[in-house]
Amino acid sequence: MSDLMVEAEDVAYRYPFAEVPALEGLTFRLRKGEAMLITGASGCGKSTLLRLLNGLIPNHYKGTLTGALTVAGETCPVPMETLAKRIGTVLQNPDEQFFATTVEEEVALTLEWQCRPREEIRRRVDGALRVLDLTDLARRSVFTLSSGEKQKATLAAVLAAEADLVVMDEPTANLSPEATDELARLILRLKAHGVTLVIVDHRLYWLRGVLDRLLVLDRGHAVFNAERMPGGEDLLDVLAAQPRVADWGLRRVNVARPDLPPCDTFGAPAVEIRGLVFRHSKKTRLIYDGFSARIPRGTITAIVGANGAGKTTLARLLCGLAKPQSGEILYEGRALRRRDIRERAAFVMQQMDIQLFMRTVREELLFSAPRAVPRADREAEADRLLALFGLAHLAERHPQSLSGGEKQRLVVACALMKRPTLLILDEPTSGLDGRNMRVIAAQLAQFALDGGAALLITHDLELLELVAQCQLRIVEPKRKDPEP
Amino acid sequence: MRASSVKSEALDIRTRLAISLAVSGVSIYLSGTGPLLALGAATLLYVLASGRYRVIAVSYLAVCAMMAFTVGVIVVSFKIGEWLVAGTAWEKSVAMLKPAMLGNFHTPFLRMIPALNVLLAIGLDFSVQRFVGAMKSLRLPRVALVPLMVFCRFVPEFVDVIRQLRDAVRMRGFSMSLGAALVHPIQAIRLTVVPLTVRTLRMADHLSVAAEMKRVGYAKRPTQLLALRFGKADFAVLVAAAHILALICVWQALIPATPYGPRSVQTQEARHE
Repeated sequence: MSDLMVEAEDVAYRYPFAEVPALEGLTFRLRKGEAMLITGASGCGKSTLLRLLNGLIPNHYKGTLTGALTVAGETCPVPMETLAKRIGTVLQNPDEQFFATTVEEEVALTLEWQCRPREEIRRRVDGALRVLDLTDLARRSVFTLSSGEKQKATLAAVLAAEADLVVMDEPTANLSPEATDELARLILRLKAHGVTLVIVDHRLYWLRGVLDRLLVLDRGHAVFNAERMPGGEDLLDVLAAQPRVADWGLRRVNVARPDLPPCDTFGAPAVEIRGLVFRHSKKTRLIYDGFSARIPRGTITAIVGANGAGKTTLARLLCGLAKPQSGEILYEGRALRRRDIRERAAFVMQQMDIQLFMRTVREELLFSAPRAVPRADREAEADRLLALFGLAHLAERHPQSLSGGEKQRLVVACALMKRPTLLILDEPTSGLDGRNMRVIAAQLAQFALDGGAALLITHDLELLELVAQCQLRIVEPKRKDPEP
Repeated sequence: MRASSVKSEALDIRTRLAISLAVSGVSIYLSGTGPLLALGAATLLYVLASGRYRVIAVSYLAVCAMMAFTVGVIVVSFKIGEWLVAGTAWEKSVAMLKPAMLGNFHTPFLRMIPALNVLLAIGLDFSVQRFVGAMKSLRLPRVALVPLMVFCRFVPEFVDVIRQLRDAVRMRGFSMSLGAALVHPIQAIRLTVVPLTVRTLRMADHLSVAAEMKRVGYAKRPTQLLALRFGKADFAVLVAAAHILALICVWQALIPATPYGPRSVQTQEARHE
């Protein structure tokens, strides 16, 4: 029996109504127990290839598929029902793939719909939870888990289903550096058990020593396709040595964890927090109990803390979106009403779709400017930001029609348009390729140079290494409580 | 774990659904004040067993407020009528209508109370998973079960999106309050409809993709890891409920008719004949 898990021969795919193919001329092989990374700039066709592998194309997304593709011994097209038994998929956002409400039931769900006997389901679920150290969380609601725990729960479901091939779409986008390291170790363990893995990710550094094959796509074509030889050089180093690597818009292959000084001693504060006490409701535990900090002016500060420590909650408090039970938040030395705080702060949230309201990209920027600024000045500033963020050619497009990377750049530009005293960004570069990430990093650095205070909530080590100057550590990490 | 959830877990969700359906049906049949009060009292005892006294009290206050509002509207409308159309014809109409409207206005509210009690008994400790589990065990057809599962999963996600959207709108210096919507209706539509529509469509797409990948809907009778248990308590509660409902129905059958309910309609029809 062949040990090939995936075999692609001159595969091409075009979405319905698309003028150009999303993928063209792809040829590669992947053996059982190997791990392959598919990377490339935004829009290069990574997600399309992943959909081909897990059967969503052509079962869910229609289009024209040519060439020969064999996955888990089945020649495509294969009915979803057949493929779903052998392939497990981990999406970027675990929330979007949960159907059950508790961890245990979520892990069991696929097996329940496979009509497995109850005893077998119990055995497999317990085994998967044990492997991922989730036994204590078995009865917890999935809504109360931290991002890292959610990602582990989705992996446990895939493990319990005993999938031969696991495909992961940006699995580290919401993970802390510690959880990312843990995921890398888990992949090695899965490989040792004969599981084949296909990982789609922009972040590269965490896969050192894990990969057997590396595929870089550029506008649907494979521009780098290499296999690791026994005892050979790590594929990431081979990639970094490629002469055209800078053109492919990739992230860096080597990223160090920055050692940042505490922000309290870093300069004059733009915002000061004194004795903050906060809990979501009387029934939930305290998230902040007498928390104090100073956020320096002209500096980019990273908020550091484990998944679920309360970083986003702090951002909401600093923006006047939540009211502390006690304590003070001083802007430029003054205690302000929450409405006035919201005028002086800008908050880039993780979810892009809900931050875009207007008919065109230009209108979106103009809508973000303070109303006191004269129209001519607002328009000049909008044009400047459109050019800086590489969005000038999209000025008349509807914001909701932009790609993920373009939306991310637009919401950051809108936040800067507000000319805030404090700019807070919650994971502004998750899911962004190297090129787009560097555009945002450059504009953040300029904002700080101009005297603004920026707070960065991110697990993106590369972004931290590029721009963060000091850190605000959430000293007492608490388990995440249910939102009110 | 809260004490209330322990209590409610003692009863199967199917038992609570069955009681809810039976009580709703009986309350439609009843028209007499006595039987309706008895049904209200019995169902009140049933919901009080959940131990969630505060929520129950607030719900009852809301019903009282509705009742007071209705009485107020009736009284004010009669006063306005008197002021506008003073005369013999009006007085005759009032003499005919007033007893019917004010004398029996409490009947619909008495019908509402048992329904409120049984719905509270379900809602105070509602678990999407247990509900879906109950539907599975009732052998609900796949075409109904899968949309139900998707819907149950969609609701908390949608609530979260609304919360985030409210934050995003407030950061732009606007509000999602009713007052703001009345003052700037077009802006309110722009700030809510577009992002909500886009996000909802995306969520629907992601959920359908996830359902495909997990094979949700591919089996006629999926296994249930956590089987629902129909225990002795369920049996006892169902038997007691059946007896109480039967007794109340007999009481209703024995008392004279009132202007509301099926018996009163029959009586009036018989009178005409």
